[in-house]
Amino acid sequence: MNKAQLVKELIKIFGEDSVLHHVEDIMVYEYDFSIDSNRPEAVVLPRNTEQISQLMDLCEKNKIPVVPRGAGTGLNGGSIPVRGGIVVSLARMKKLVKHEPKNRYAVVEPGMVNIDLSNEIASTGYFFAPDPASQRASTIGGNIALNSGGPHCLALGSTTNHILGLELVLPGGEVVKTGGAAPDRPGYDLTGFIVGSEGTLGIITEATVKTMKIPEAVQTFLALFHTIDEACEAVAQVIGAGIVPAALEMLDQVMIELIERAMHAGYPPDAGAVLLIEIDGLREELGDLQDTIIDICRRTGAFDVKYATSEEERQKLWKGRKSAAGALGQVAPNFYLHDGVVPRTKLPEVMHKVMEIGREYNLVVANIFHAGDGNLHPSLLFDAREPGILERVIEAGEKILKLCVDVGGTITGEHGIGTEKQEYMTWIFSEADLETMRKVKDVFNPNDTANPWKVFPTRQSCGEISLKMRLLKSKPGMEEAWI
Amino acid sequence: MKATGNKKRTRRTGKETTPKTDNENLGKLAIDGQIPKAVAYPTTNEEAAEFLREADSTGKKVSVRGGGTKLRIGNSIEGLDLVISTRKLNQILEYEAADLTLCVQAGANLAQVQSKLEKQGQFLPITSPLSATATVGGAIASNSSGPTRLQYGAARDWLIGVRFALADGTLAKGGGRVVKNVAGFDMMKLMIGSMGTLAMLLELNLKLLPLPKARATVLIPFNAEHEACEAALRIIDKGIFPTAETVLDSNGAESLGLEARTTLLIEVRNTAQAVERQLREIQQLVWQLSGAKVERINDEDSQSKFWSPVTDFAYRPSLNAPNTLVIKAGVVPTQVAMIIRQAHQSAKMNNIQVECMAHAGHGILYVVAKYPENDEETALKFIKEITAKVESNSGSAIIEQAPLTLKTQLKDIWGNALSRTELRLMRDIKKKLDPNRTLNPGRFVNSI
Repeated sequence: MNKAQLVKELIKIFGEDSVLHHVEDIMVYEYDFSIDSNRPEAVVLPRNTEQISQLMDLCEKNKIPVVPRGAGTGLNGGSIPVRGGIVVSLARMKKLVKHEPKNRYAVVEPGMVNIDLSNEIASTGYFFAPDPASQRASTIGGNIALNSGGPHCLALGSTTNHILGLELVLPGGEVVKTGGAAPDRPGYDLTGFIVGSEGTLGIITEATVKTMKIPEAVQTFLALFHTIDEACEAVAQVIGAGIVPAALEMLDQVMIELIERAMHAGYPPDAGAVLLIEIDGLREELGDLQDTIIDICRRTGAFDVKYATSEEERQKLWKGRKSAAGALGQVAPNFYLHDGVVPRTKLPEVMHKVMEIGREYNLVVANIFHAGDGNLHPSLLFDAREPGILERVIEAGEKILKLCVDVGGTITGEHGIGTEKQEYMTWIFSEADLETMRKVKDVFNPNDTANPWKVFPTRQSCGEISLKMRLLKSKPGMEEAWI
Repeated sequence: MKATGNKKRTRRTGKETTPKTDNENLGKLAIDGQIPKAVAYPTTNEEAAEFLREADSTGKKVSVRGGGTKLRIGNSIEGLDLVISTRKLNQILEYEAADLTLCVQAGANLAQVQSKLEKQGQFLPITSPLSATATVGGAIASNSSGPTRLQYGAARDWLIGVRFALADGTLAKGGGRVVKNVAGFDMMKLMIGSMGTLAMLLELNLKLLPLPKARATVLIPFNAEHEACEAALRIIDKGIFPTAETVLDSNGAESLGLEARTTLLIEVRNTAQAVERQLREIQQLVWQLSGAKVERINDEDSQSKFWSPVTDFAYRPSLNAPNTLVIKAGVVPTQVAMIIRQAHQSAKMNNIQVECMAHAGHGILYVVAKYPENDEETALKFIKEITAKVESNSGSAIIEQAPLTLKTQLKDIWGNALSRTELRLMRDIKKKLDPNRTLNPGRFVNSI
């Protein structure tokens, strides 16, 4: 089937207004917020499951790759059509189908923007808990595909813990509904297996998600420390005191300086670490915990502890943290962001080594991390125009991830594998582990038409694969990347 | 606290390579009347894999056994040549209290693990009935949960890594040791609740929580189940965040040694002041609804003793009796009362005695039924009525316990909720991971 025939078939299914195939129309679909890119043959914008089912049938019969896409805010290359084919943008399927507050669930279409769900149901007193930093743009379908995290997944879990049921169109066009609002559907937990599968099992067309009661009170603390070690000790002691905060976020000295330079968040120049702690729940609970938290911060060396109870003050304390990505963009044309995870107790040791790696490769590394769950986000700052720097950036990044793995951690906590980290999968999984996963994948997607060449290693040596090429094609607009 | 992980992983307490065949012992390991021909007690992952590989390559049928508390759940297995016990795979391999994570072997006793964690002020938020006998692996394989699921969710919210052996002896894993990890497919979800039909679970990495600072339990009498269920939902909607909300009908309450009347049991866990506030609001709301008096259980020990039989309610050994069956249903919370009403109606029409217990906040309920002696026809009719009601409301119902003769008459104890495509995917997953149908053949949905 040549491109003209393909376009004709697509128009039959989707109509003229829902098929893009001219170069200038499809260019924006060739990359996400990673450093990879490739152009699809065509982009379709379905309005319903039936159209997607017909598309999956067409593509399976003709062995055409199909790549689902939400908002394109992914950081790992997962939504890039690396083998060409059709990109399915779910942007038009964004309705809230229903919300049953009493049963604490909602049914949504996959293209719904994460924050829109919480906004739409706010008047009922309920919200959708997963809060990736991209939540103002990223879609719930994308969050499900990548099992997104966010600052508040420390207490409430990642996306997977909030997904009750799915509707999935399999390669070939068969539509399956899994799970549902009622608990303990018999059989294997297909829903749980599909979450985080990065679009490699089919296309999600509907999701049943948990909604939770909005806590009546939130309290945010911002503690300033001279060193990361002190701040990490505070984290350990908070957890040790039997408190699991809603969020525990940390910024290192480099990051603090960059944020100060970019937007004056009010951090003193001698701060070596900023620790943000947020607790939520009943007013009495917060009252009980407040003194303990302030006391721990002081005892572990904080030279200043601020706290906020009003929403306005709270936003002020979060402002620096939330502006991190923008601040990076202002000081360097490019940055490369990683997502390793280590056991919480290894954080101080790992942070020192990350800084050492930065020095070894002569790179500025700014750190922001979800300290509560050991999820690091080191950003390697660089200017892609500088000859030879890309190799250094990639090698340094690899070393950091390897370090995470060596202390018992993993290569990604919330961004996913995509194309970016597929070769590193062998660091944490044996051939038997990967083969077992592949066997189950084949049940859903035997011919690799749904999002091909993702997640699993390509089995080419790291030096030869496109990884380094991808960085060379580093895209403008990266400063808006989501962390 | 770190239990020298790597050493234990390779430790061998005498190599165990030959399954035991002593008869007296084997009789105790029977499943649905089938006595295995041999039993193996591997001491390492490699030994477990070797037993499996040998059985798989010679066409033997294998059942993996933990504490043996849930053997009655499932369709009758098609054959039983070998039981592989996790009894000697029972160690905590790593426990890093500061990380709130635990790596434990599948055969570790759940209650013993909990008591070790308690010493560090922590706990594993997974509940299983009969926890004194149940193993962690068994609780995961059967997706056990109890009253506290309302606050803590189920196994899928706590399992972060799994190591297992496939039927052909392949040792594999999914996930890892860290609490946040999206590398690779979520094999944990596939293993949870798979009833030993996909692989033998060997090691489990789990998230933990600090013990609550304070807890309180209250008992509230109601005139009818639907009023109790309504109160339970109103409390959640008020933002009171209870840990457990369980409704007992009067027979259910009586069987637990309480006064024979509809009772709503609530547990709250929080800081001391917050617990008091929660109880105050619960009292106020109940006062408005019915004026009933709220009875409170305060001290820690009495509360634990109180909830343990509630958790065991549908799994008490005495239910392993003739003319007795247990239905477990899962529905959305607002339909719980309707299903209890259906159970009462069907019971009355069919001359059946029922006890109901419903976790009204999260929608899991149990109907324990005693039917007229040898009248399986009536039992089947009763099952059909309840199952139909549940399934026509997008829920699912399974016959968790029934005498073997009744079980064999039921086509599938797992009910009819699954669609053709769901079943096709499940069958294909089984076929890929256990192509010779070595592991618990026939036991799971649609006799997978």
